[in-house]
Amino acid sequence: MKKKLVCIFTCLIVCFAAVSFTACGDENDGSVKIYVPDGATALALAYFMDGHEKVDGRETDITVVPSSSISTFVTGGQADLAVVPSNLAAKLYNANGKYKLMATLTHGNLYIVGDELGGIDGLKGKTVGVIGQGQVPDLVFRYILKNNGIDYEISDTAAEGKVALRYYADGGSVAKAYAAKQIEYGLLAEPAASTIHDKINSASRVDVQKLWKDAVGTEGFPQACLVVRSEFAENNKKFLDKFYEELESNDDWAVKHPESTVQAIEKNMQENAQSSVQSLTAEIAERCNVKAISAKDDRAAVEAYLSLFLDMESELGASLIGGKLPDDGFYM
Amino acid sequence: MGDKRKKILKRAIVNIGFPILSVAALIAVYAAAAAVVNESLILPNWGEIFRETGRLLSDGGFYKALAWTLLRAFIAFLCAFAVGFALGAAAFCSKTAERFIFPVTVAVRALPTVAVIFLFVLWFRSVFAPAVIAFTVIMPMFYTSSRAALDTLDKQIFEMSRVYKVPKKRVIAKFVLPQIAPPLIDAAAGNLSFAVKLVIAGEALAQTAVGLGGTLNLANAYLETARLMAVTMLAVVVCFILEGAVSLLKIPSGRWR
Repeated sequence: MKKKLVCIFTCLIVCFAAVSFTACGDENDGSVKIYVPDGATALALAYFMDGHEKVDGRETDITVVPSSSISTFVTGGQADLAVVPSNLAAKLYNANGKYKLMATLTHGNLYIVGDELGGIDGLKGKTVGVIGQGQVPDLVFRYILKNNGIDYEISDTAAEGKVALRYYADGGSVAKAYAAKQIEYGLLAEPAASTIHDKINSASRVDVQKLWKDAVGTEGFPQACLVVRSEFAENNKKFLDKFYEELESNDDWAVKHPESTVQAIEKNMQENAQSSVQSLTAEIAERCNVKAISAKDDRAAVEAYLSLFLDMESELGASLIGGKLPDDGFYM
Repeated sequence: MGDKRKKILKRAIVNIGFPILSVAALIAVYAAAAAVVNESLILPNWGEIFRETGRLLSDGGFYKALAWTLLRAFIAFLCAFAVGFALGAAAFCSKTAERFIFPVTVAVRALPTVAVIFLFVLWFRSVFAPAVIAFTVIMPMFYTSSRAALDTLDKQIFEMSRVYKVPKKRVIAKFVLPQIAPPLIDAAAGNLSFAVKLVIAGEALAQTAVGLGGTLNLANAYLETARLMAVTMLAVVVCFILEGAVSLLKIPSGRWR
């Protein structure tokens, strides 16, 4: 009898755990839930965080989250709107169509810092520290190297005539590796790039967006974008029109108000965590390349950019955007 | 059916049936959760996970990554065993050595793994860093288990063998090894699969180019949850096989007795 009771009790605990696990989620208080990753992408929504929370009479609730966890809020469907890497937006749309592309927001914020560098050919025989193997900075950089006929290999040390790509988890690790002379250059994203550039007394700061323009022809690349939950988009057209209108006319808020932007981001950080945007000047904000362009207007650039991921899918053996370019329904 | 047969059948049910039942329960709970969530990006169903497992098993890149991870784990494991056992033996033989070694092993054991990872990534090449991380964590564990195994030895037998002038080699082969091998093999089995886990974590954090940690990183970055789970499942199977293989060493060690 006692054994049976233990069995029943164990089964009940397992069932309760399973139900709790699947049922957990945020409560909705009627405000529009917006999630944005920390860093340059957070600058894009600085206007709304900096005292302009009400849009079309509705409260917006913006949460700045660590960039590594932004996917949680869109895969789980908690976000009404979210800023995500464009390749992730395509992947999500191709997987379930739950989110659509509303606008592109950042158009490349990558810089190469380190030793003196004349041109891209100067990278031959050198080691470049890159954040995250197979992620956006890595793929963009590999594409530029390929386009310039420069061979590369994933290695800790460079062979003659080749660029060695060495991967690190974050900008801080790249800076430390440079200080330890493990690498000659680091590929970093603003605003961290400027901080690290100053910290390591870097002799160069090469604008990767210019290298991209030479390779592809388009002005920058739509690195991050604003997506909206399809169901929310259907029922809140007026709000979204007004939101985009305000976003477009204030996408340079961080350039004009760098100090209050830092405070606004800090205030909106999830669980009062510390933001990676600790200091910001108008110049750094400018280099973050924030500009709101509607999905329809920027479609050609988005498709050119996503084609890069499609090309790399077989090389990396991974489904980077879901095996195809998104169809018309993706662009709002 | 005789009583003996009944007993054998009952033991078979207990030994085989219950483990199968617990695995089946885990599979069923996961399947139910996946069905409720109904979102393959969060909880892919078993069909998707097995399809991805098949894809991985037919991909040469996966075997290369697995081979590198296992190589790092084996190197870390063997070095940790050698150093841990040597220190354990030194501490067993000399109180002065024990006093010298003890604070070092306690300090190494107390090191936060994440701090070790951050520092070693900076100090060592990303190819070696995961192995050094695993070595640092496992070595004190081997020291402790070696020390405990050696403490079970009856010191009077050493005295006796000295009096009767039994060669040292014979004492080690006929008395020491048979006594300490079973507990050491038990510890080694667990430590080897732990080394694999540590190496995978180290590879993921050190952004090591080739290894299961890198495969997991990429799958995580591109929301390939089914792939993430397939790699995890295969890593569990590999650890299970390794633990079993090391435990098999207990059979010949038992013959020594």
